[in-house]
Amino acid sequence: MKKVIKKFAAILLAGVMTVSMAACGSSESNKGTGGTGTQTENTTGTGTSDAAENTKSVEGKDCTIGVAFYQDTGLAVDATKAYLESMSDTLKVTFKYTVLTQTDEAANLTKIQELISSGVDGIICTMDLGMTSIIQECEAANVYIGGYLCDYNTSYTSAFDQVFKSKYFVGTASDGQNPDDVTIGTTMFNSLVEYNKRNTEAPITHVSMAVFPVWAFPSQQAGADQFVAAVEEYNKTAETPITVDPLDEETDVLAFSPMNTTYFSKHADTQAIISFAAGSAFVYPTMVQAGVDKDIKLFTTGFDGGEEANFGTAGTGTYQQNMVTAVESINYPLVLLLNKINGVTFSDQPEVAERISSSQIVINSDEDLAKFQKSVYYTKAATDAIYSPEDVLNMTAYANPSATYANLRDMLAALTIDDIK
Amino acid sequence: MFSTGFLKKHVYDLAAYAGLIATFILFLVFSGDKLTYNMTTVIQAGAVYAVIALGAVFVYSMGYMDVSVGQQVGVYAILIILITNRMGGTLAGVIISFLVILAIAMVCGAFNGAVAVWLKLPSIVTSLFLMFFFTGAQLLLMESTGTNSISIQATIKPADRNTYNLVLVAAIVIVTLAVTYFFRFSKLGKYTKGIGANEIATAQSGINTLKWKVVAYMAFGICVAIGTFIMLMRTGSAGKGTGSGYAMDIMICLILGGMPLSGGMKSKVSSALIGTFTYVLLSNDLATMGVSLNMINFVKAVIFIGIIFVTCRKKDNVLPR
Amino acid sequence: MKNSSNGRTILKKIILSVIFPLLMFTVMLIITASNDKSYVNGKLIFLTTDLIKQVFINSCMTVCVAMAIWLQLKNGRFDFSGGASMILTAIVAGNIGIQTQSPWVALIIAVVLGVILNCFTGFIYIVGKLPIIICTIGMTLLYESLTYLVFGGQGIRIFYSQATTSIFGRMPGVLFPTALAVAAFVIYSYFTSAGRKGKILSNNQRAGVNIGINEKKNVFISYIFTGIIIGLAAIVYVSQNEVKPQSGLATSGILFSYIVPVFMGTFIGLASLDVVGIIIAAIGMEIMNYGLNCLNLGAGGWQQIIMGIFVLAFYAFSAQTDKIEIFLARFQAKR
Repeated sequence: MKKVIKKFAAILLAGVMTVSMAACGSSESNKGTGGTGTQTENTTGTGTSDAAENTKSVEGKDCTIGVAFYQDTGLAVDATKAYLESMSDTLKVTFKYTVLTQTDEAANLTKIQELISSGVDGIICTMDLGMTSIIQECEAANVYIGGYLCDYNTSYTSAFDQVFKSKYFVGTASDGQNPDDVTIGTTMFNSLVEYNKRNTEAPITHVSMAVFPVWAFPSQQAGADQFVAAVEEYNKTAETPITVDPLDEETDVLAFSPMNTTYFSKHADTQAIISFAAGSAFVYPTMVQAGVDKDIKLFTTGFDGGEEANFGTAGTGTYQQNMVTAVESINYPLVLLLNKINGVTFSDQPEVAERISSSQIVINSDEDLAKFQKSVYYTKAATDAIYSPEDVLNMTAYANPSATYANLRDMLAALTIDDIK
Repeated sequence: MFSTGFLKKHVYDLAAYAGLIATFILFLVFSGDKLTYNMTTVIQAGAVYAVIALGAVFVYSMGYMDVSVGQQVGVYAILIILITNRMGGTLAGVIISFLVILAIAMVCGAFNGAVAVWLKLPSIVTSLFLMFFFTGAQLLLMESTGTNSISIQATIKPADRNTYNLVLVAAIVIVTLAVTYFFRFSKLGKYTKGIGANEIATAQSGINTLKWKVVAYMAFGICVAIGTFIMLMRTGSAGKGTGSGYAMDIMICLILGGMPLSGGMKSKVSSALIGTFTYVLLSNDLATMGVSLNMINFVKAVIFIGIIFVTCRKKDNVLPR
Repeated sequence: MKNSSNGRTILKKIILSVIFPLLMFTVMLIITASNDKSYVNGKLIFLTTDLIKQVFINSCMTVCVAMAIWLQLKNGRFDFSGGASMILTAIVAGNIGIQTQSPWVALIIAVVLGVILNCFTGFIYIVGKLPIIICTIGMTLLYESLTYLVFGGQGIRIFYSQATTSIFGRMPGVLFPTALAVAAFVIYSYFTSAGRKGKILSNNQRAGVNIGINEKKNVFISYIFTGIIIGLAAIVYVSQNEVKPQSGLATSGILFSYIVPVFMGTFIGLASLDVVGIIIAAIGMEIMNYGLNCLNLGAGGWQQIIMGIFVLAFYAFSAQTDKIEIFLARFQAKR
């Protein structure tokens, strides 16, 4: 028994030592424990807003940026990785990746801590979950963080001061529009009208909708309202009015699980589903299972690969609209992080971090699909990207002294189907 | 120095210690200039597992397991937040909410211990029931809040990072001492190990096994409640998935620490600590070593299988079940 | 005289067997009929052709997985890794199925890979002499980790959303792998010496080994058959679901979600055969699930809680099986 007690004592001692070391360490960490490139505010002694405006371009530092995705796989994730890797040499950035959970704050914090442990200088994060504790962690480790494909709505509405006002948060590029800036309903409506113009013999006159819960994606609910309003306006003058089934709380709000087959019992007469939720993953498979994919059209967000076989006039022609946010929108947080890491800032940089709507690639015809199939999103080939590594380097304040924040914002607005090379 | 007899007898312990030492050495080597920061993260992540795993020692030593831990942690975290916020984020609110979940955790413990006996069910069934029940409760509670994640309005984490780490270490030390005392020097540990080794013999020697099962599960419940609070200190928020995976993580920690899943006399408190820190350090090591995301799980699996090959191998003429 | 008593026994067995789904149907009919949510344009959606379609499609999946779980369980082993080997098999078979655009190729690959993976599990168990739960947890972690390494860690999505490849996920195609799975189970249990010896081993392992049963060979053969069934379950699964890479023993959750019919089935099976019991239980459970869907309780908190209560109640009930059997025996003896 003595032996065991000794073992315990040893373990406890190790624990105490660990803490004492930690105690010494944290005070040091403020002096800049970051990797090679984290010489930022603390070492220069100036805050971001005070950072000197540079007049000539300087060489960027070697640095590491961690990217925390919302899922392991998928077209968007793979294309983003391919795009980032293509820029690695030019920007002198090593990228590290991790995957967050969509429901567990503590697990996400651990993932971010592991990224920091592995020596990243900045983090691009695609989830708004446990963000206040993540920001605290970044502050403690002197690591900057930005958002991608996420509107950070929870933080924006309930923890603005802790997150958006933190000098370690650089801002986020949303997945499409912010909840207060919605256009998706109008986009869906336009695609529907365009379809009807192409198909005058058999226009769609009865549609139903699908959304994710409002607490997770408020912009989808707003989009649905916008769509209904647009149809009502259209019906005032239209020869063949369009009926929209009102959103059924029970079947039309998808709780991040595939649509239920009872949807088609509840919407027996629908000719098209307008899915603000990810239709390729959550709606279309159910349509196939129920055998309605030949009869009902689908206008949706998301493109996961494989849709092209039944898009427009191809195959069953189920898909009539898909919509994605270009992977190039990651340049927004990336450039802001690089500026921070290199201790520079734009002359017109706002005081408080922002969330910016991103334009979307809307695919609603065969021609659009052909164009989309040449984008980096689809091909995963970095040469197809709208912005080359050099373009992105030129967006940074250290490589291009005349670069501005306004330009960076404009970049997010120029990521549409027409911008694809 | 070591006789072969000693080696044979202690091969499990040695393997478990070797695992911990190996992960610790890798930790020292690969942390580089992030060593101090990494130590704090290991303590933060380890504290939750350690406290819950320590409590689980009582249950596992009886040869039982509880698959509902994760969902219990999730629901308790949400309840603490809801009750505290309802009471205006005051200290009294925090204390009352903690007492509430402590009571629930102990009731669940009693349920696991007693109902299983009354209904003549394997205890995994009652914990399976609790798992389903708490999964449902967690979803319903979160749906009622109408958000993806709720945050506590009170300050429960020391603002100073050093103080916070000290609090965590103190919690681990106190729980370890308490569990060690009850497991080694009180009837509780003696009887739970007895139940694990041979329940019938234990009962026939005049021991009220029902009573001690209930007590053991309740002790586990107390640790789950404390563990939940420590977890909540980390993020201050909870959601639908909070706690998910904890039941399995705890089991893996205990296996890595050399705890026999069949319970009995070889059960040790140290398994919980060794296993927990091996597990947490391993995750950290793989991250700092830059093992690619897709490879991490593979490496972990191979290490796990390697360790169990040494620690769990049986030498019977029949295959172990 | 004998014939009529035989006939009566068979009739009784049939009635006892079908009573569960019938009861479930009646209960769900009453509940849905008295709930506004189940009506669309005045029509009760519980009583549509969807009922039969959905119940059968989902039951097939449940039956396949339940058979695989039960085959090992009746031999005294709880195999944790069934879910992981099914997911890994599904990903590989699905991807090859997409490449070849042939569900048949996918089916064959699934069965072959299912057998290989399960035999490997059995091999590790035999060689390692590890407690089955610990061993299969290790194998689960291993197979799960492989889901990140095959086909670029992409999992498989478009297999089930393509009408041409997903024939085994819909009626009537789904009946084919299910029938094969049932056949494999029946052949193992009733027509192989391994199955019969397995029964002895599960009743008294040590005695079985002592009378000369080669336990290792027995385990290995059982894993071959489990592998076949897992492969068939995988093809149905990948034809109905997107399959993503899994980690952290998440696949055991997939396995657990099919475990209720196993236990219920073995109880219902007391009236006839375990295989019949499992099929009947699966149908009964799916009727319940469909009813809950009509009430919009199909997903989310309430379904979990109802499921939990069900598990507990059922277990509590079946734990008294001995007493019931004794009671039935007495009842019959009196007559």
